[in-house]
Amino acid sequence: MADFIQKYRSDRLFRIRWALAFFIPGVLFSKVLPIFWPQAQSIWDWLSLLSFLFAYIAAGVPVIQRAGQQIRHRSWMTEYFLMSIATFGAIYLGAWAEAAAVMLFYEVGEYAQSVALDRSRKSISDLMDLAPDTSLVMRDGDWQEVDSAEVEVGETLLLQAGARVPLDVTVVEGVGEVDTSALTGEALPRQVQAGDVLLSGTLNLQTALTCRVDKSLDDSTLSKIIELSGEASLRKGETERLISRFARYYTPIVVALAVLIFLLPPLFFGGDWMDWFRRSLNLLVISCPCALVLSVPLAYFAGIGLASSRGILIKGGDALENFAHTKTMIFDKTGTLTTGLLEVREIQVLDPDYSQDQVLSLALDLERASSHLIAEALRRAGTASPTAIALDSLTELPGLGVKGADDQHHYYLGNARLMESLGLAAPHTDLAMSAVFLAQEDPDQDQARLLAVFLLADEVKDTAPGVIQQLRKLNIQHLGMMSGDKTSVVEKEAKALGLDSWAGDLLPQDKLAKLEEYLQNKPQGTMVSFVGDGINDTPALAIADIGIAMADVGSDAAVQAADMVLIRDELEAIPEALAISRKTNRIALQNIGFSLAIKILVVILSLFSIGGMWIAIFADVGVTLLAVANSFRIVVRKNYQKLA
Amino acid sequence: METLKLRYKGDCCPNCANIIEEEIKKLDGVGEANISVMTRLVKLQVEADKAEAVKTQAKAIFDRVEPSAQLQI
Repeated sequence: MADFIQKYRSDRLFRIRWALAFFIPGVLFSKVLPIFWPQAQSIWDWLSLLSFLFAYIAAGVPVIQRAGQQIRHRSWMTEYFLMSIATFGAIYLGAWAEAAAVMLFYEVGEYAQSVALDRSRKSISDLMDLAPDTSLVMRDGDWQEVDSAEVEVGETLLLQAGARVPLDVTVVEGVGEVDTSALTGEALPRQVQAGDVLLSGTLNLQTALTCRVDKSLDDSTLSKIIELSGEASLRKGETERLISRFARYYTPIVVALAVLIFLLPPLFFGGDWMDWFRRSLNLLVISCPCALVLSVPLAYFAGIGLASSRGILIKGGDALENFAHTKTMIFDKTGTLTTGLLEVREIQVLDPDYSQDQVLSLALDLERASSHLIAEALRRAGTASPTAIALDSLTELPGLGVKGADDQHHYYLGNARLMESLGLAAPHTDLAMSAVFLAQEDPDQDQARLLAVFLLADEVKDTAPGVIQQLRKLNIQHLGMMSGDKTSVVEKEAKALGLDSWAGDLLPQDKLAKLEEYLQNKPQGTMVSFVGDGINDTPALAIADIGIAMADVGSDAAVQAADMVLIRDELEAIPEALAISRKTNRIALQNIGFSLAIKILVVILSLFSIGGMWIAIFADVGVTLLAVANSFRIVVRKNYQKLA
Repeated sequence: METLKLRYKGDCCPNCANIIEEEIKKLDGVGEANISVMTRLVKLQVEADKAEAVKTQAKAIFDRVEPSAQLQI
């Protein structure tokens, strides 16, 4: 395919070179040499006519050929046909220079546009080069180089230093550093060890790592990103569709105008036929709306490309456009605004014979074999080195907690139901946290007593308050939080973050109903975005105006449902995406604005016979190049993080 | 309905892409048609049994409206 484009383009370059080789002497013969040797005027006239004729043929023949093909299919209102007519008209009027110039500059413009588009496309083709085609996997007791597409999930893969990760894998053995910048835009290397997930496209920096393959090539992150960002430009936003609709009327209107100004002034106002003919030809030259039509997707493509280089995958031009109009943003709590990791917030000692350290030591000892979230939280809470206690006969009580014993007592750590089963009334801890109780039982007396209550809650992410502030500065008017957790927990955290609304105790279907409420009550012309962690929130991601999933792209359902996926699993990506989307919208509107303005200006100039076809063709090429350059501004300004 | 993803070679003028899109949408058995000049992708929603016919017709539309772009089918 690259060959074809190359050949096609070099054909074009070949034609441009020849056309220029004739056009430049033509200008010399017609404008420069007559000044020095006016006596040879008739020779100059002939030479320049011949030069322009050859320039016209070199540049214009393909256009005329295509016009011919289209006429056979009865397509009249096409760019090729109208340009052919315009230049034939110019030749009829004896304006050889202008006819040649129109064809030449048309070719130059097409060439420049093709180069510019390819540069814009490069962001995606760069991604494709990231993942190596082959993988080193263990087969028949040996490392073998295998086509990445043939590697199966569960195989063992060797990742050498300096190599890119071919498929999504988990590190099994080895410690090292990786560079994820190609996927996430994060410049700092990341430390990895056994158990860490590496996404395809990541660069392994220092040491060889042994990994287990998690996903096949097609399901791996990089393949998904390439597929999704490639298709993003197929999903068109309101602005793009509006301009496309407008374009359908534009050509007929301009052509009709050309016919009118050719006929009306000479027929009714005694205008000169030739003069008005020339003016109407100018209109035909600018009857192609391509520059205008292209100016919009150019901007969105640049915006989506920039976002993807920053670890923000936007699935369509429509999503990018609409996101800028977000005025309501609703967050899922656990795993989105909070870390999803429990933290011990408070230890209430209920028995005066025990100290806080003692109850914590007991609890830690009971949980020593457990990898449950609560056990992890207790371990993180154990600041003072716990007194060594060694409880025996640890037993897991499913759904309740754990049990252990020493010489004299039995110990229980668990929820309120476990306490009830021991005949203990769990004290009401109607606090914004989940409670875990520690109880002691004397086996001889068959009587239990409560020793302590541990209150746990998950932590708000460090970055959350800053991000909320940034979003406020970016003029998000309503920030809300939804959660399946207890309302009291949700309320406390929402208030701490300064959110406008919150709702707790929500089952998945309640979340959906709540979000629908927000959608119904949103102010006219604004959008409701929902940010979820992508695993449980799929329905909500789907119904929100813009569903943002904080998830790896491997979780298919979430990626399907969401409009935006934060591969860089950070809240800061949200204000950044918002800034990018607003900037992109501004650039798209500017592109439309000056494309239209220049077109209208040229129509007016043509009507008053100011300038010639030169201006008309320059306007068309110029507008495209201007739109390309303007869209490039989206990418040049890389730092959208500090906008708020 | 099934999704057809096709590519084209060469360059398609953006307005031609719009015209082609509209014409393909009018074909029998086509639900949705989208063309991206940025990525040279064509995505169609077609009735499964008409997919082959739609491909040939779509190629013909490409050849007629924009001879510089060749739909790969």
